[in-house]
Amino acid sequence: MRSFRSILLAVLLGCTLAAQAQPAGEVFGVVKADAVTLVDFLRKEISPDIFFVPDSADHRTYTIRVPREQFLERAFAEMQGNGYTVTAYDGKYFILHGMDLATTLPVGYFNRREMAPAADDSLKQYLGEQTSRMTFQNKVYEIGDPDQRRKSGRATVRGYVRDVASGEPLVGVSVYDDSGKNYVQTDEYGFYRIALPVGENKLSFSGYSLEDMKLDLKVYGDGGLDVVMKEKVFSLTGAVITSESMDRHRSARMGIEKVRINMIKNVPVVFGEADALKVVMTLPGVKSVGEASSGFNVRGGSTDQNLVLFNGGTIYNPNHMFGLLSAFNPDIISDVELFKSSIPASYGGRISSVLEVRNREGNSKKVQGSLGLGLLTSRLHLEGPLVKDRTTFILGARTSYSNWIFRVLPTSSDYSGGKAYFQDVNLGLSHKVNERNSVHLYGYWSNDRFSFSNDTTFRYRNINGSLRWHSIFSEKVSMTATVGYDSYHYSIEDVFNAHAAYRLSNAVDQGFAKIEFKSPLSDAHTLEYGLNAVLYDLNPGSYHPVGEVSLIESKDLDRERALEAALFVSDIWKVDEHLTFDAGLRWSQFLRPRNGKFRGGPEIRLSGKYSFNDVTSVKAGFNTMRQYIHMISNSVNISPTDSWRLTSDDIRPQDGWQAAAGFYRTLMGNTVDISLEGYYKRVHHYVDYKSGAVLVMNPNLADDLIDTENRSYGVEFLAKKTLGKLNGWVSYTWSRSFLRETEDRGVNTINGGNWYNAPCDKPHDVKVVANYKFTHRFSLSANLDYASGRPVTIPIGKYLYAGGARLVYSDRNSYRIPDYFRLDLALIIEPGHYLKQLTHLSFTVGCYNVTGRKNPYSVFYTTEGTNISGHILSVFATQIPYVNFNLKF
Amino acid sequence: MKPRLVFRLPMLLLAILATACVYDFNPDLSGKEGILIVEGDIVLGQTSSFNIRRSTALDSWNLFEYAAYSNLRVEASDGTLYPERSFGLEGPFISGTGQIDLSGADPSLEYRLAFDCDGRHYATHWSNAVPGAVIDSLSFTINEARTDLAVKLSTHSDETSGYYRWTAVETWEYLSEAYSSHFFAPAGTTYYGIKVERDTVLPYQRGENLIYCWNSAQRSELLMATTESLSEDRLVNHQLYTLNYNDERVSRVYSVEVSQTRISEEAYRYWEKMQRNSTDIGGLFSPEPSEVRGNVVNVDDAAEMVLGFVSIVKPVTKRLFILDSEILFYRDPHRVPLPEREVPERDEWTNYYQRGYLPTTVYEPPDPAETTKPGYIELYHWLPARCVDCRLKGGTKNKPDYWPTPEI
Repeated sequence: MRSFRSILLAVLLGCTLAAQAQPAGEVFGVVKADAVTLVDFLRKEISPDIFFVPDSADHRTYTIRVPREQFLERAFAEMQGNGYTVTAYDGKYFILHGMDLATTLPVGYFNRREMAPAADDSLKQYLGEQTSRMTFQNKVYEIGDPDQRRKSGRATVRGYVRDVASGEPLVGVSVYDDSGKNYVQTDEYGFYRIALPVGENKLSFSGYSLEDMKLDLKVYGDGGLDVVMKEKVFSLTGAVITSESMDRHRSARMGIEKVRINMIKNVPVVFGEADALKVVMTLPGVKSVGEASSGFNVRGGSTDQNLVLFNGGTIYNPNHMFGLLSAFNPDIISDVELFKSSIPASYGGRISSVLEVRNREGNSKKVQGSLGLGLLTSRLHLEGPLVKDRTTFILGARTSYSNWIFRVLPTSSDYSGGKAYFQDVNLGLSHKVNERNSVHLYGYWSNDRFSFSNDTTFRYRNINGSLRWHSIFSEKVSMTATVGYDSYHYSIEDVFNAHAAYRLSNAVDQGFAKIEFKSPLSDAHTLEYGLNAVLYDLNPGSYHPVGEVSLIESKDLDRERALEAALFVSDIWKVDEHLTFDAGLRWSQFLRPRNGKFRGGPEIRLSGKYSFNDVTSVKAGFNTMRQYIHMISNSVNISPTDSWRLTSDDIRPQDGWQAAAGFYRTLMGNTVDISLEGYYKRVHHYVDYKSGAVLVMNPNLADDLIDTENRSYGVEFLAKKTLGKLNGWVSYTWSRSFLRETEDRGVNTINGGNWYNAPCDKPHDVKVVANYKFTHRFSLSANLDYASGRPVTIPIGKYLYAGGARLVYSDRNSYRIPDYFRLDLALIIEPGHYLKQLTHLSFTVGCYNVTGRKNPYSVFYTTEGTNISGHILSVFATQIPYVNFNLKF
Repeated sequence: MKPRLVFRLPMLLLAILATACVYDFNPDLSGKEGILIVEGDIVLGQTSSFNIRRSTALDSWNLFEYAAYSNLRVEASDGTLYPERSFGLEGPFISGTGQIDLSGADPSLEYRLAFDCDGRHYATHWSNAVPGAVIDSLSFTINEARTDLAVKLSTHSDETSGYYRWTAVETWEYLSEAYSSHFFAPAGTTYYGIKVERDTVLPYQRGENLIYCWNSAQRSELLMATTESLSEDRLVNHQLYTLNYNDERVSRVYSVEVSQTRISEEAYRYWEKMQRNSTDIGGLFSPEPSEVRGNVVNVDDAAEMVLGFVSIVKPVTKRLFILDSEILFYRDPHRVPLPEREVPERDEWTNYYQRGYLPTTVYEPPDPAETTKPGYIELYHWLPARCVDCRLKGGTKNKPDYWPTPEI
């Protein structure tokens, strides 16, 4: 805006002054023009042959009013004063920032056989390296130096893909050429790098909810091309839209599901708080043992076998209020990505899956934010540039309302003195150092406090901080380096009996570093390699008295410290346009001083795909994984008393493998992706417990553990439509998961050493998530969930003992609770789409469990005296309506 | 970790959600029956009782079946054998309960319980007596809202830590719903040496009334605690259980005799599992039920499941009395109107008596309008027997010898 005004002023001034003063001594000038405007003015008024490389960090302005004949000299002088170099050569002017231009050749230059970089070339090269910015599609973009064009071979084109309006990087945009052989995706910084044959090329960009873009390129050599893309606007006719399906048919990796925040916000959930984890649970292959539990099971694995990463940091407890709500603020996350089969070699440490949750980057153009009001929380988020186009921030905060839930409870209830509250704060800072380097800082804090009527208080908190440096070393190598710190602390305080008042706490603290390189070796090979290290410092349990009369003896279990280091390398090998292999090897090593053995071993990550054409492909993969940290819990859910323990002399690391194969097809004009994946999975040294094991404050925990193995298999069908008025997905999963104790402990062996159902073994599972847009303002979302009942252990006999009725239990998990069915609906009302409106109000009205079905969570029996009665516990046994407001500004 | 916490948390969540719901579940299960159950402790120096029974299927009408056992005995490590008190009869018995006189048993020896059943031999593991500990105090507190009474116990020993188990036998005095000073005497019966000529009502003599009753029962919950996490083997005001204000037990005079035994850690873990399996199952974060195995084994086939844990104990007991005046719970005696019938015609009394009604005594207060007319008692009001006869609520007229209130 400012520059526009300056131009206007300059032009105006120029005109008026020109009119006033006639031939010589004409006063001429610019007022408060920035460098670009000034140079534009010079080109227009004085000489078109001015070459200028602007410094994007330069925000100085120039006010120059001198006679026309002195103007050029004066302008150059002012610019030189501001750090520019001005070189005149052959009647042309070169204005550069921070570098000199040689106008003479080195001595003996022409005598050399080999062509050394000419001095003149340094400008060309410099210019060539300056990334062109794509603005129009119907233009031919020249990549590289035309004077140094290669005759044949390939060149690397790299650049960032950003949103045209907000300047945010666009993640996961498919970049590919017409041949179909060359295909890449933008990474989390919006960065892509693609090898193209020298010569004319057509490069396509397509991404979810973005208008497709096809650019004509003339590739002479390596070079950069930044691209801005527009969000699709449905009213535009002619915008061609393809979906993410591209990725499915190009990449060899399988079992990867990605959900973007706009879909997450559409899925109706209990109390209407948009919840990334709850949406993850609607994906095929992901199960939870029951409602109100954020612990999830991926392909038959246990809840501690999922690595939950938030901007690279590990979140040990991603829940608020023990699972009612996930701890990720929907206003600041961009997407979640779940790896359940092909886990890239750069990830490790958990057996079953990796769940990546990513922040958005702040808007680089203007400050904006939103306010949200829901039934459980109120939210605020702010984002914007700190330095325009260079430094952005995004800040999100949520807090629960103060205990309204407790106020509605009758005062006579045991809970009238109870309190529950939680908060979380997210911060993201991104700084673009230059075209090749960017630095990102992430911070996360969440806090939960939960207390009973004044005597028992549960607290837990997560703190994560990480610093990431993303750098493009050269056309062939880019690097991402991350260092960070994650912390999870948990405590229970019970002051019910003053003489036995205690505080029990445990903690996981870890520092981590990861350095990752990406390097396209040739057309066919892309190498990724790096190093990943986690330094654990666990407090497995501290038990301390509270108050002066407490007889509790202070006890601290020894802290557990260890280093988990891993080296990884993987290669994507595009054999031809049909066949691609993705082979990775990770060597993880676990070093625990003073507690013995060096544990470690290779992890293999292999996958391959064969595509018959652009819309049909088959894939297969084989993975092995290792896990050195274990959650100690004897409930099927993630529960508040769980603690984490490290592998030791007596506790073996968990290891497992998975073999999977799948068929993928895109139908109906690239709008519907269907996939069918089957898998078989084994896990050894799964952690299970002897009956009656003491899990809390047990220094000899290993004695209470039993060695169990896990076997899972299943078939997952998914049909996903990401575009159009109707979007969403339908999935059906048939899967089984079994456990078996491998030790022989005689009569105590669980289920006699036979295979038995794992807690998450729910064979049939149907999930439908759908959103239908009636108009741009109104849309209806539905979420349907059907699953077989989970296995439980129930009493099958009874006897009289010690004055009361007691129960004889069945073999473990040999019965099932009744099937689960739930339908949720939500109506989403978007604001008016007037661009100039300052605030946009949207709201969601919804209902969870529309049919009001009393879905069983568990069955249990109570004994009172000599009476035994069976009960079913249903967590959300009725319709739960909700309304949620959101104000964007 | 106290099970209390783990159990309360899910309940709180349920309360919070306010949407949660618990409803009945009656699956169609064939069940598993006939597991041998051995109950009882070896009490050195006293007569010890042992119950040997079998479990029943979950849908069975009975809570246990008798097991036909024989040759029940306690064996000492020096070879001494203490047989079952036989009353001169030969086994196998199906009494379910056997008694063994252990007076004079040397506490320094190891003991075990053994018996035969259905041709198989069963025995417990050998073990020593665990030293006992005195009960320092047995007391009660009432919460601020005066809704609950908690019975608390303090104990200590000179050891560093201990495992405790208690059995609590409660005895309480209670009243019938309605007051009755007279009983129905049909014609032809004889009372106080006088033959009743015509249907009538007669006054009760001392101690005969159906208003005051006494009942006694062992508390069914498993009471246990450990001091393993404490700096010394001392429990101060450890809460054993609570009684709600509308519990009949605390309606008048309440007494409890607590028997405390110190047990081994192994035994404690067994009882803890049994407790968890009967109370803690099914919540959001509850542990999964786990099978319990005690220290009784089939000597020939260790794979047979036998339940029960027999400890060698030295129990100490203490009794607590709580008078109505110390409790003073608010009670609304007329929450439910009693189905009272006025039957002034004497001819109909037999009819009502045979239909299960009993006469009650209604005191008509003086009419304030007629100040000269005194209050009087009416004897022709009849109520269903369960409102009048306190014995129909489970108790008896057998007032314990130690009861502190005078006879009425």
